[in-house]
Amino acid sequence: MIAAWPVVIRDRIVHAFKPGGSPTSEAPFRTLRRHEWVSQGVRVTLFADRGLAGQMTFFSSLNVVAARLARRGNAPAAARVARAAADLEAGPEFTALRGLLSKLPDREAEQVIGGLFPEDGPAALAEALRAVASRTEQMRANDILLSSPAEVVFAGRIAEVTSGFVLLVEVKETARATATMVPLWMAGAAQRDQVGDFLVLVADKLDGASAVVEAVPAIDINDAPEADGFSPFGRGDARTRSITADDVRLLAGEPQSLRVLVPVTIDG
Amino acid sequence: MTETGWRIRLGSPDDRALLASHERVILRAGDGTSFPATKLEVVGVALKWQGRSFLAGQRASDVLMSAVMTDVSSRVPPRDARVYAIVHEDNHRSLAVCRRHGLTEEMSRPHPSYRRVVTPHRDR
Repeated sequence: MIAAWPVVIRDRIVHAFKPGGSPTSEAPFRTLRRHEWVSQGVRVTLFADRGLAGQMTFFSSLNVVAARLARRGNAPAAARVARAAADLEAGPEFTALRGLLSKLPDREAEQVIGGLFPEDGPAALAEALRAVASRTEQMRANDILLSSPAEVVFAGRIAEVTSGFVLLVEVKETARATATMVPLWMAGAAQRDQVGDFLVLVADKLDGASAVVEAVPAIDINDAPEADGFSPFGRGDARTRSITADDVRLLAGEPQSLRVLVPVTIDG
Repeated sequence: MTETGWRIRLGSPDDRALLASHERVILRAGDGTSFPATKLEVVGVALKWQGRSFLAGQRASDVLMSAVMTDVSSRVPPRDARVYAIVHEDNHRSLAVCRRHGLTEEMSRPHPSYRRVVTPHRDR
């Protein structure tokens, strides 16, 4: 599964709130803070050649969604999503990521937050980013607010690079995957302009037929060592039906009635 | 073992949008303890229906899962009320659908990458 880069700097949140303004402006961010439409973020210490090089704060990408909701006037939803972002930032996945970022040399932590993974970066850092992305997608899947029809997402892999564009192809197992052209400068700004790179395009509706289209760096959260021939389907693999002593204790009770959310009539 | 599978048709006769199947299985522990259960084999929503809702606001996936649960509970002879599914741990949408439909308990994993979720039980 291709997921948008799960962490952002303040500027991306401000841009989502005030698309036409300067992303470095202080006032829009103060507004977001005052209304609690943005989380506190996570602070990490940066290192350079000769020791400490200051601190930076990074945020869960859910804050971008919260800022868009705030811009559309849905204050309660914005506050709720910002709280979800804060929960995420307080979780073990962010703690692990923060710890690994603080060990990076030469201000590399800033590049990682911007979507660039160091060439010789530790595998643990890639895993930590995948864990944060995976948790973020989990929260998106559980919350209808986070799949708003006002945002259309196109996630894919760059299949071709020309002088002015990259060809972004949806990642699907079927032969009918769709593709779109993305200006090379947009892909480059998202740190994704090479064949094989993962990129997400987010069309953020403004009004009527207009939208802000943002190129966001992406990560493949399934890019981990794969199942050793295990199939959850059918009867071929006995592991799907074998259970442990803990399972026996769990199943020993009386099964509760099944939950049917939508009344459905089945004919014949 | 018997298995059932069916499709719900939406739109034109060729527009097969939703597909599901379940089967009765026996879950067995190392000491021989066994439980009859229903395994959700496949619950699939066609690409163009993924994330979409009907006019009344229900998600296509919720309608399909409701149909599955209705079918499981109305089988003659009855299918056991222990309903479980095996889902890849990164398949968050499917895990969310399972949770909404009551598959809230976590059993042991049949593989490190796959979760096994089941409907809840009360103490006898």
